Order: sequence, then C-alpha cells, then structure tokens
Amino acid sequence: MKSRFIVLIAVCMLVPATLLAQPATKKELVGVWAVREAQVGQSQPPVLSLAMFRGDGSFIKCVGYKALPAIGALQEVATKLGPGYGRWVATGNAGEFRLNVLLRDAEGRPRERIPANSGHLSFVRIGQ
Amino acid sequence: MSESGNEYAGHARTDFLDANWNVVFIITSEVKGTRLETPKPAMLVGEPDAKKPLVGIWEVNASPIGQSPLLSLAVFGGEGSFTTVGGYKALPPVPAVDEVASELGPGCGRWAATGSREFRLTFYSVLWKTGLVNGFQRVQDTFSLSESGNEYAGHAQVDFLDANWNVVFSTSSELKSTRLETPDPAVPVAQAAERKGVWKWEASLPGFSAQPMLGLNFVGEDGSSTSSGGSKAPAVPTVQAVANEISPSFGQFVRTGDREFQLTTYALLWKAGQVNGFQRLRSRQTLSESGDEYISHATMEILDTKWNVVFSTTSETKGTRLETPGQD
Repeated sequence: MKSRFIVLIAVCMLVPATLLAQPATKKELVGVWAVREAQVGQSQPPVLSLAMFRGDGSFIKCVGYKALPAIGALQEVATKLGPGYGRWVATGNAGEFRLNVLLRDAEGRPRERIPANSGHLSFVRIGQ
Repeated sequence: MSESGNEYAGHARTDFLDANWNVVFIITSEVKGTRLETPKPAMLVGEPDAKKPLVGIWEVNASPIGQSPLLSLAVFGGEGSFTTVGGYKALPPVPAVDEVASELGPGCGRWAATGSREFRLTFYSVLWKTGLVNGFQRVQDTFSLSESGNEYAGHAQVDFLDANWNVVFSTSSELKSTRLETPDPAVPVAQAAERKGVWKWEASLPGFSAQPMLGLNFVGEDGSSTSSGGSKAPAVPTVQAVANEISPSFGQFVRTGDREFQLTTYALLWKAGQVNGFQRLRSRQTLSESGDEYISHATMEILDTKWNVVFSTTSETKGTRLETPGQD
C-alpha cells in the first residue's frame, strides 16, 4: 500500500556563499525577508517568497502551498509543495548561514493517480 | 550578508526525492534576500514584562472596510516572531487587487510592546496569481490587550503591493481577538526544549482518513509548534459540510513529566478558500530515550466557526526527528 503513495522528499541545501566581509551574528539574520530565487541556467523570472528567521534558530518559509515546476520527474511524485520549516545556524565569521527547510506536498501525486482526499506530503531537508 | 545587514545573497540547491530518498530532480539557484521592515523591540518600552502576556495562539476577527469579517489564526512567539494564516481567498473585491492576485498566502512578521498593554505588529504575506507569487500584502497593526490578557482589540492598516513593492490598494480594518486555550508554557517545569527541532510524523485517524496521514512538525525553543500535513479534508460528510481543506496548525507544547509532553494545536478549516471552522488536537506525547522519536495519543475535533464540535476521533502518531543544523 505504501508504495502506491510515493512521498516526495525534497532535500534542499541552501548555503549562502556570496557573503561579504562584515561578521554576521545570529541576531543580524533575525527578521522577515523578501527572497528572490533565480534558477541557474534558466530564463524564467525569479521566484519570489517570504522567509522568517527567528531568534531561537528556527526558520519558516511563508508561502503556503505552491505548485511544483512542470517537470515530468517531479510531477510523477507530487503536484504541490507546502510550507517550509527548518533551523539555521551561523557557520563562521564571514557571515555564512546554513539553513534547513522542510517542505511538503499537499496532494501527493497527480490527481488522476490518487483519491483527491489522500493528502500525502513531501519533506524537504535543507542544509549541509 | 551585506554590510548593512539588510541584504544577503547565496546559492541554493534543492534536491527532490521520492519516498525512498532517491533524488529525482535537482534545482540550483541564486538567492537574494532583502530585510523587510518590522517593529524593533529595542526602540520600544515595556519589555520584557509587557511582552509576555501576548505569547500564544489567538483567533482573530478582522472587519475590513467593504468586506465581510475575516477569521484567522495568529501566533505570537516569545522572541517577537509572528505567524498567521487566514482564508486564502480573503482578498478585497477590487480590480487593483484582482489584477495582482487571486490568492493570499500565510503571513509572517514581528511584534513589539509599545506600552504595558499596547503593541505594534507588522506582518507580510505573499499574493498568488496563476501559481506564481505576484505581489505582497503588508499589515500594520496597533492594538491593546484587555485586563484579563485574553482579548485584544485594535486597528490594522492593510496595503496590497505588486511584485515591485508598489502599493496598488490600501484599506483598514478593526480587529478583535481572543486567546485560544493551550497548556501554559510559563510554568517553569513545563518548558519543552527537548522537543525543539523539525520532525516528521505519521498518524492514523480512524474514521477520518483511510490511509495514514503524513506531516511535518516544527517546534521552537519555547515549545511553540507548527505542523502541516495533507491539505485536503477527508471525504467524511460531517467534515465536508464544514470544510474541504485544512490549513497548517499552530500549537504549544509543555512538558508534563520525564519525557512526557502535552500539546494542543489549532488549524483553520477552509471551504472554497474561506475560513469555515477549526480543527483542534489535544495530544499526550512520550519521547524515546534517545530523544529522536515520539509516540502520541490524541483527540482530534472538527469545529464550526462558533466552536461547536461537529466531528471527533482519536489518533495514534509516531514522530521522528529530522536532521537540521543547530541541533543540540
């Protein structure tokens, strides 16, 4: 039964690297941020989102449920991603941050393959 | 991080994996972040004593000009964070907004005390149009807490912005809010720091879902909890009468004994994208000796907007901690 409900597990590794000389402390990252993500090698416009870094090291990506890109391999396993949760740490004096985000799929698989009420999910583990 | 501390840039790699953790697709991207303006606690008076009473989960009833009252859930975190979720179709029926958005995302922001019972809050939500984020909503609240500490009332300035942060429409609303009952994290013995982190869970809910439900649970240092699972409400007639979708849930953990915890969570129920009820879950959890697994027994209730229980079941849940940085 379990094999019928493939769960998408997306592991995202977000390792900000273009970081400037100012030493970064944990406190500096705390707050709400508007984020633009531009896929490398693609001409599509950047994807916009909101992210909140909390003072206790936790992280929330505030976008709600979003459709996955129309890529065959992804659509095979899921149609939507859910909110992202994670934790972040400062990794050095150069102001690098690592971040783990967990996203989930709201519908699991394309609707024709599962009952509409199945509600399966994906996990995204971010951070390395 | 830029010198000003208001921008960051970096690289992201996203691996999409199937149920067996096989990578099925990889995306790499360049990421740029810009800090959004929120209230600054250091500039304000009354902390930390004034801050404490607001921490918790609240039902918020907003009355925007020209719109029906809007229900939402709001979570005020102890370290000044704020998260909220409301009806995702709860947008003002005006052409300027309709041009930018068809759906509203959850909100996140920060709050600060400005007096002994007065507060300021700013939060932001994404605006969706045909599957893409196409703008933002900015909400700036000022409100006062009642003497009991269980209600607040105030005013919200609401701006709708396009993707370039130009204001396309502004409105305002009156706010009334009521605290939802959760275990009290202020009791020193009740701190639930051991549960801090990100967890995956699998729950069986007889009569509610034929298959086990899967989800993620994120627990803050203060025991605050956010969970998400499948968003579609099960095809149970009494449930479908109230809702066809369920929002992420918000809750509060407390420790009740050696590796024993209590958790109460609340989620919104959506019907056609509007809030039409609530889900309440009360659970008792036992953490494994390793601290990386738990089992939970819970009562789950579906309630209408007047908080009448229309459906109830029990559930068994297993949770496993997921690896994240900053884990103790």
